[in-house]
Amino acid sequence: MNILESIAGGLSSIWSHKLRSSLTLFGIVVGVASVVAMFSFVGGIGDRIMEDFELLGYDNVFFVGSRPPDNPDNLASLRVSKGLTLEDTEILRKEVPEIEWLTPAVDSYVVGRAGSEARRFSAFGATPDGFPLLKLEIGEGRPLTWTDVENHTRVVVLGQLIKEDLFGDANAVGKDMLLDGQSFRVVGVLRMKDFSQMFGNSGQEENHERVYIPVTTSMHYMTGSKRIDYLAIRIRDDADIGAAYDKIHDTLLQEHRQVEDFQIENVAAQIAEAIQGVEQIISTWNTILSSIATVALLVGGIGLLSVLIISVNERLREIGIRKAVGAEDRAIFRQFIVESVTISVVGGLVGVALGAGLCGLITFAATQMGQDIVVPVSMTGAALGMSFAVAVGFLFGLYPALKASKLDPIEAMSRYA
Amino acid sequence: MLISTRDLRKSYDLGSVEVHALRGITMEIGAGEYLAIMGPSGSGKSTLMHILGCLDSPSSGSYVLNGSEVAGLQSRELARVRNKQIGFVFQNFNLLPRIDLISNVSLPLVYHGSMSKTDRTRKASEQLERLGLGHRLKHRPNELSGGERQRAAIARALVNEPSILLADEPTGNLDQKTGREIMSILDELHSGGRTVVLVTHDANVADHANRTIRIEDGAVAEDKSNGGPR
Ligand SMILES: Nc1ncnc2c1ncn2[C@@H]1O[C@H](COP(=O)(O)OP(=O)(O)OP(=O)(O)O)[C@@H](O)[C@H]1O
Ligand SMILES: [Mg+2]
Repeated sequence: MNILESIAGGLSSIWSHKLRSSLTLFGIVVGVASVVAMFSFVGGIGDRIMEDFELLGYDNVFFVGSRPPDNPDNLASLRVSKGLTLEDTEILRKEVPEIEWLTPAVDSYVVGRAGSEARRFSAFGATPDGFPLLKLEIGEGRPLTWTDVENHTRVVVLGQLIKEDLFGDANAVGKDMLLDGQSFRVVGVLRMKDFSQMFGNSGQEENHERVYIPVTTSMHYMTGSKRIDYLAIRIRDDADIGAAYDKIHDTLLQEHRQVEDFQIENVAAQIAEAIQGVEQIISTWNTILSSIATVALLVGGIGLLSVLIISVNERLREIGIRKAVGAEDRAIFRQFIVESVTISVVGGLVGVALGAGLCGLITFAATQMGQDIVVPVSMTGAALGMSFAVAVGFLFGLYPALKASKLDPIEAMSRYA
Repeated sequence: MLISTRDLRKSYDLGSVEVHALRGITMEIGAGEYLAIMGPSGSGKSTLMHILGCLDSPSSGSYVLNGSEVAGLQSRELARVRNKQIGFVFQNFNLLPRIDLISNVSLPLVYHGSMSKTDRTRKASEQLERLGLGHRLKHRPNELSGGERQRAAIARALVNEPSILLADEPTGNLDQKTGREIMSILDELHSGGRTVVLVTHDANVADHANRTIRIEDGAVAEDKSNGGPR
């Protein structure tokens, strides 16, 4: 008898003892389903938090700002360094290959006016690289271009909230507006991203309560200074944060003639720390869940064991008959072990399906409560649940199978009678 | 000798009492013999047959089959003996209730070795047809008459072409006509060279055999030659 026939035999035996099988299945189904659901839930929340971090756009980001040098007594030093300028941008871009995006930033507080509406907000002078750097998405129109920067044109990209304040539902792209009395052409509008809302908007409003203009335009029309306020830097995903930090620091220090009149805010490290914290929490939860799952499946396994023992006793006559016509011990053993593993695999599959259903239910319930939480079915949970189920089926099938295989044919039959 | 037993005993310990089903059976059966075992109900005929069929082990005594002591056989060797050498027809048939006749009769073939399912099915249906059950292949045992079940049980015993057939009351549940049909099958098997041992209460059935052993209270009371089948 080959293994497929054994499995077919196991399945037909499960089918012909429906009540007994469903009782057995119950424990395993519940065990596996809870594993899948719990893992998916925790995984889903974790993923969402991570996604928020990523949407926020501050992972792998450094800000380089100005500050007074360490020894202000040395006034001469103030004169040898020009402070943060556009040249620093060029140097860093050349010297630090870890940098993926880099933008100078000049921030000025302005009065913006469009038609009869006026607001005070920040005008953020940047280069086109600022958009991918801060992971800003253009909803309408276009972002800033290098031509805008070269020609310090008076164009502006609006944050979504500013656009709504000043223009309402009306189209803004192509319209003119005033920033501190100067006429600017609106070329684009940002679109807000879809955050989980689990922790508020996680600071994304900030990006939409301001407008974006070419950095040169800002220096030319707003500040009138050669200095920039700070540099925003995003390093590559695969780059080492510490090494990049050091390189940026050393390059700037040399450029500033050893005057430490800048400071690097290592946002990347802070975010990395926060992400690590979340990962820590999730891994703790997964450990807790694994323990719960183990208990659940052990309980299911004990159910399987007792049902299999009952099934052996109930089927002593069948075992006797099979042995009487020449079944070897191991054939009987195999029949029972295949049967119990088949039961637990079926139970595992039903459990995974049920767990997936629960995930859908959680997603649905969350949506009903206004939470944008999607709980994707955790593959880890499913794999773990399935392998547990198979292991449980095998371990708990072992004893009854062994017991069944050792009987004398007549002994088995007369015990049944 | 094909079969030789010495002082076979079998007792059951039922807690308060001890039941002695066999109290020392010593006998020999040669290859190709046609033997009838008779005796009152409860005298131990079935118990003896089970031991001869390697389905049960005696409490004491020796059973040598084909020159080897059965008590000394490994469980694998016992399984092979049951499968290939001995066909056993149970007094209560012992067919599996949940599967059809083909599957029941195929069972010895399943444990025989590497025979494909189609071959098994073909062989089982041939055997069933030979016993006049060609129209009942897909029926389950509980959908059959007693005589049909009896024949199915014989078909299962014969499907692996064993050299020894042990039949416990093969005509006990049958009317005379069907009983005669079964007996002619057994006669045929015997004349084909097989060793046939049957248990019966019916002297006419016993007359088919060329030797009769009478068992009473777990011991051999009489052992006589019939002078060949009629
Ligand atoms: N498993 C058992 N436990 C206890 N006693 C048993 C068992 N099997 C058989 N016996 C006893 O052994 C004795 C012999 O039984 P056995 O079935 O061999 O008789 P038999 O000659 O085949 O009878 P019948 O003609 O009615 O079939 C009986 O007294 C029976 O009660
Ligand atoms: Mg009997």
